[in-house]
Amino acid sequence: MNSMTAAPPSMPRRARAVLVAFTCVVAALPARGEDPPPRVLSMRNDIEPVLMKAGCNSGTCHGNARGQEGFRLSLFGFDPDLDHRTISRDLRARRVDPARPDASLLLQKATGAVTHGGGTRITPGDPLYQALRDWIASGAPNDPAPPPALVGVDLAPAEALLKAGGASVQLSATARYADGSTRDVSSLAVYESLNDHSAVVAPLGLVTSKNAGEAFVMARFGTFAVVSQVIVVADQPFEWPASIAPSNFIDQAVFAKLRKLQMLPAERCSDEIFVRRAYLDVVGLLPTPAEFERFMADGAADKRARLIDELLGRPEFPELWAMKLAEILRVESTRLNTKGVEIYSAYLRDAVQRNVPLNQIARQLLTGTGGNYHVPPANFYIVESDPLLVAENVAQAFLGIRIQCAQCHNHPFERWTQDDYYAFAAFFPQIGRKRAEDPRETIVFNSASGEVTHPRTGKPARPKFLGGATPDIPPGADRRAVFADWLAAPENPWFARCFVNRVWAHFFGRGIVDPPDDVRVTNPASHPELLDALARQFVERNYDIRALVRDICASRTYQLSTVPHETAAHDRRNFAAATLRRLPAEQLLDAVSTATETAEKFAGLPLGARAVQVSDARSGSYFLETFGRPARQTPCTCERRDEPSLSQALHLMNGATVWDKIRAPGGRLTRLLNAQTPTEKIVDELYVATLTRRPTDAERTAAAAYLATAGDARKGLEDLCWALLNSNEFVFQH
Amino acid sequence: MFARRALLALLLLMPHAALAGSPALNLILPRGAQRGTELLVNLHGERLAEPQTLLFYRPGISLKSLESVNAGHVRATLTLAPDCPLGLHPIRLVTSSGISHVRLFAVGNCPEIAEAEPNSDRRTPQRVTLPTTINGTIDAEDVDYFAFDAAAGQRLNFEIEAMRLGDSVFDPHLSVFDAAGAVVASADDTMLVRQDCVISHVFAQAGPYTVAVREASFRGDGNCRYRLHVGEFPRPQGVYPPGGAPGAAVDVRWLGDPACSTERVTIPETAAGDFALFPCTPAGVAPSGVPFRVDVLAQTLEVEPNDAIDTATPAAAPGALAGVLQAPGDVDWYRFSVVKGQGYDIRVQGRSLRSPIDSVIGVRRVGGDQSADNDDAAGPDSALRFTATDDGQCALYIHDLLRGGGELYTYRVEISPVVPRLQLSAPPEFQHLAVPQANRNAMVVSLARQDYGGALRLAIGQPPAGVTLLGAVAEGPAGVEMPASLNTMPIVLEAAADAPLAAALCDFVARPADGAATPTAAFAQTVRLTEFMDNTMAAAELSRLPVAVTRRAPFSIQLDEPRVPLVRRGRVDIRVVAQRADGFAEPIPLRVLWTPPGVGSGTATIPADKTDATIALDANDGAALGSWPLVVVAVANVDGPLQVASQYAHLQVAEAQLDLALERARLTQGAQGEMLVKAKRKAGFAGTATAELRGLPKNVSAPPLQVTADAAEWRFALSAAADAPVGRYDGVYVAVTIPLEGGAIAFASPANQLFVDAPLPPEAPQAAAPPPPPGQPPSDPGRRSRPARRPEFAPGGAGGGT
Repeated sequence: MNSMTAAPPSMPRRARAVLVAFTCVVAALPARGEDPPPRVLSMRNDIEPVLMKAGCNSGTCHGNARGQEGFRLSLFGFDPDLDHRTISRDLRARRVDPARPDASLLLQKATGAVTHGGGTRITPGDPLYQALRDWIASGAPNDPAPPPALVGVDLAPAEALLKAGGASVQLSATARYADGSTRDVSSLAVYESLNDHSAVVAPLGLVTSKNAGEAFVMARFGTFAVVSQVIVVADQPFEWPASIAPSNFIDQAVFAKLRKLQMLPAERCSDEIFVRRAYLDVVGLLPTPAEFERFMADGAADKRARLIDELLGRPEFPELWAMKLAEILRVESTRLNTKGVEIYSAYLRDAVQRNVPLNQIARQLLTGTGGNYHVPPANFYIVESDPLLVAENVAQAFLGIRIQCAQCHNHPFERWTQDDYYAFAAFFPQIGRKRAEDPRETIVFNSASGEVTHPRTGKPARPKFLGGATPDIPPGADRRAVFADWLAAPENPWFARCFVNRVWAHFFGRGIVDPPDDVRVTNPASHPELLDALARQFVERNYDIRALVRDICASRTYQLSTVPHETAAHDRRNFAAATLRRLPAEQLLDAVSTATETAEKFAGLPLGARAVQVSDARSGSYFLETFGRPARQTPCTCERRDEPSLSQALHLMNGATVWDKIRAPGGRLTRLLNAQTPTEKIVDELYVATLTRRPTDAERTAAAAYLATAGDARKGLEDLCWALLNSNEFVFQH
Repeated sequence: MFARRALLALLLLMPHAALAGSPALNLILPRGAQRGTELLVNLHGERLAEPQTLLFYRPGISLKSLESVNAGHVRATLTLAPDCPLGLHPIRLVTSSGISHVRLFAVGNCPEIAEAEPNSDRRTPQRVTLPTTINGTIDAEDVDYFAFDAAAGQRLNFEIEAMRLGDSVFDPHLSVFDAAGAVVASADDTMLVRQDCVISHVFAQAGPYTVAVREASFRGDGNCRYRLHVGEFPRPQGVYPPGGAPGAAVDVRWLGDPACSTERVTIPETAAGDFALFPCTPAGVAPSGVPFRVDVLAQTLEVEPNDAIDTATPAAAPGALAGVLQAPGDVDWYRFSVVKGQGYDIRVQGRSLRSPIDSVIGVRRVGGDQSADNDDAAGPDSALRFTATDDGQCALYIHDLLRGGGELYTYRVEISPVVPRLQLSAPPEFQHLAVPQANRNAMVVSLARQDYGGALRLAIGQPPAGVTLLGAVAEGPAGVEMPASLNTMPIVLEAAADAPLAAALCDFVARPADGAATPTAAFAQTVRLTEFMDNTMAAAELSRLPVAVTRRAPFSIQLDEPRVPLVRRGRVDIRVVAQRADGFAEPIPLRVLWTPPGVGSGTATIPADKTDATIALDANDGAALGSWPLVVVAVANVDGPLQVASQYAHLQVAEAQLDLALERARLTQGAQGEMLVKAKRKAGFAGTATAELRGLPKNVSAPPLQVTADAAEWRFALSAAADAPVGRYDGVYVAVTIPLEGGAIAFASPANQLFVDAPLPPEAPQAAAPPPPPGQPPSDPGRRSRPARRPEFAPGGAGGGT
């Protein structure tokens, strides 16, 4: 009965061809012969993989939380018992017919024999069909006892180097089970290329190269997703010039990867570009013309390093990082009110200023006990009170992991299961909150009672570190402290990596894992060894942000030009050139103010305060909102929007912010005009103040020509200033 | 009584003088002054014409003169006695038309200066000479800087009064800078003074310093006023022991200020409850007191070590335990004997005495199972009641919820026998009684009873001449009676026509009506001054009731005694008649001041050209039966609101005469039907009553019935027009009106459902379902009827398709 002849005669020719192809590679399914011993197929190890391979239990099909047309499967098969019941019992058991297996609704639908919204998923006679059919014929049994659990999947080769333009490699996936057995599941794994531009993957795991670059190919089997790195290199001679030498360990890692990819890094950027880049990245400010001139006049070889040291000592450095932490920690006045926001922000500024090790800051936040006006870290648990959301925030903020999906189902692109989710959340249900005497204040404490109930088992979940051990916590002990100890320990696998990656992303415009708060197997690091090295150094230097920034800024990689070498013209992942990126909202507004020498007014801050100092995300500012300031409703880095919009362009061109600042009575232009400064000098200063460079001769000529036609010198210079502030060179970090 | 009313009516007919409504006192400036001085203060508000006097709740301030500048501004010259108590003094302004809100005026000990802008930049501070009290204002995002010199090793104290002043929700922040601009000390909130704060700082180096005042989150507005005291005066933040007995000499240890350590203080014999000690040294006196609990309970001081039950400090119950949680994690244990059956109220005085402790207490029977514990029953302080099941030993522990500790973590645990306790107060909207001459005014009083259920007699001590407290149940020289069944009640004051304009803060007490000596209750009211999201941020604790006789009002009201009872589920209209002075033609809005449990009231307005109106009262199923005092108040516009009250009337709440139950009914469009009502006689009535179906849908009618008390079933004939809307109507009920001499008793039955169905289609004659027989519920009462039933589902249908 396993014979191919069971396929209906109406089977299309193409399907038969596919079926032949399957037969060639499927080793895992029962081989068909004349008299095959009837093998009882396992719901977990045989049927679920078929449902996954055929796409039945994907999120867009029956794996959707509401299922499709009354048929709901657990997403990617994370709940085999539920699936077994659904398939074999629900709908009056009409989905399976052991007496006439081919007439089973399950197969009729999947083959498209009866109307199926999902179309034809399998073909009668093919191995997937056959597996389902055999299982139905044997009575569609559930596993009498759970078979050895799947403990991992290996994908080989882990790394492949292909020449561009059609070279191929076959991936092979091997499943590992708890009893030590293995199984080739190459035919059952679901493949996907994460970069179709460089390599594509066929349904059975054949990878074919396209353009030069790097592609990660993902294979999913069971609850595991694994990736293989495929490097596609151009089919041409490549040589690394001796002149491009690494400055430090960062360059070593980045350049090693570039060599492998046969790409060359961009040139080292000019001093003008470096001084602008360093100011904006390290302290969030444009250099003033005086600061620019001082740097340019410095002839010492180590002047770039000294500039970084100087900037790290300025008060704007902790302010910038306090703002970035405040985004992750969701500091805004809806939940904290203005006083809470002020106290929380001041605490973060002070902690960064005093160089409190970052793991200590995290520990203080995670274990804050007391009133949030008196113990500022206690604000952390006032921002969010639902234990599940607290767990999600902690995972995303401190571990860079988004575990939200696993609340309802096993994570489709990650190893986290629903059990992991609730075990992790179980660290946070015993957080007591009560109103303090001041009605605006809340006291946070260890309430020593409360549990997180696992929705499937209905039982309290036991705290377990994400991807780690299940600690023994005596009743009443502060679970937060146990968690904080794990998080802040040097050997924690996530925390240091997550944070160095966030810092890296700040300086390079993209993370080594990008986005930096979405660490998962299927979003692999572009430079895993570099991430490890940065994290190791960070831990060894007692979580010192300034030392990390110093390393990054000293690297040649950070100092590259934005103009890529032709060998890396299309690369966006390997830091072969600096990334062009629009200035974040706060830095852009501060840059406009610095360039025009004008003061901005924010609620709760004195005139002249900088946008970076605004503690409350709800502090109204049309400019900041238009340019994508995050509302701090989630810890997600995705809240900060950097996509361009018409309102941004219009606001810069016609909005009050730019025009009023250009014309401000106390502004730069007015000052220069009042001082009877020669026009050429004004033009020069406007260029330096906005673009951090002197104008080129052509620009000087063009400016002079325009000013000559403008008639009124002031009006002409206002126009020039407007043009500079609206130029991409001003609006972008480069 | 009649003569009094006639006189009142006569007086009202006389032309009235110009009269403003109730005065509103918004602000007193300056916000305080140094004691031992005389000064001019400005009172700002609305309707402040004809100021009469100021009412001072605390001694030490006297009014020298009062002068009206205009309707919004009064000038007063005050004399502050040299021994005037320091701190905040509640003050009200009395005008010829009423009594104002309470406002606070601060009394200090240091020379006072006013802030002078510009001082908003640290480089251009205002220079001050110490000691000083600076009166200032924080505008939007303002920071006020004051410069002073400190000697090396000099200790200076800084205390700010801001939130406490009750002007606005102004949470102040203090910081002290050295000449280089570095912060040497700062404070935001200090437990002793809540959101206000204190800095005690010893200056290591001599030099110029500045102290900065700002709002905690850099906000501010013109209402953010403060008084900043700076000097070498002592400023301890706590005291140990934190309590003692009246008249006792107590050796206390001041906490939190190294410049003052111990002192023997003698507690005044008259001190009681919440009391404050003012530490005093040659350098001055603290600007505000340190709370100190005064009570007759014998006090046991803890003896360390007492961190475990085995080393518990021996004590006695009843009694008071005083201790301090010396270090984080400290737990203090006490042991005492208890008597079987004796109840003990155990209450912590901790945060109430401004200790940082957030107490948790527990009581365990030594060698037994009985235990009790508590965290927050008395605000952050703990309280519990414990009744021993046996004679024996009990152990009590106390610790901080967050396991905090330190020298300021003082506490006192009071173990008192359970005794009846009463607290007389009033809802927040009733703070004073201004009674126009020849008129009345009223308020609601409330009584918190603990372990006491008897009737009480309320008495107002020494009201202004010519003012009488009227009684609803009984009145006399000893006061009016509050029945045992009530915890709130209206009281009415009447002023004689010839009562002179006068005002007083009156003692107001409740005593057992049976003449027993205890328990008694004195009036105490916490008046909210500022709030944040309906939470009190600053308040005045007041213990006397302001009463004033004001100028005649141009109107008064009289309430007609209801002549029929209000029955449960019933309604009654009460009539209010106004006497208007010549020329007074304002509408007079009316409301019932207080209603007994289960009775609701509407409002009404006597139109400008009328002299009477009726107000509807209704009673629900569970309205409290009996005779209740009824008072109506009228607030009319007399260049501002002015309130007067009616006399008492008596409202009788009774059972309804019949118990009625409607049956559910069903009716088809264009057809007739019936609604059955089952009536059960209760009190019954003579003659006939009118019964009417109400709540019927449009185009459905039922003629009213005349019914007797003995008819057990009433049948209303229903008739639906063809266009009566189809549907389910839940609110159909019977209204019964029993005519009586002097009025009518009206009540209603509980509602039930009426269904209006569409007729069945004519082409399926066999599907025509008969209407359900009267008295039987339809088969699907919960579902809305369909316009027409599909034949295949009709009873007896052939099952064929259409």
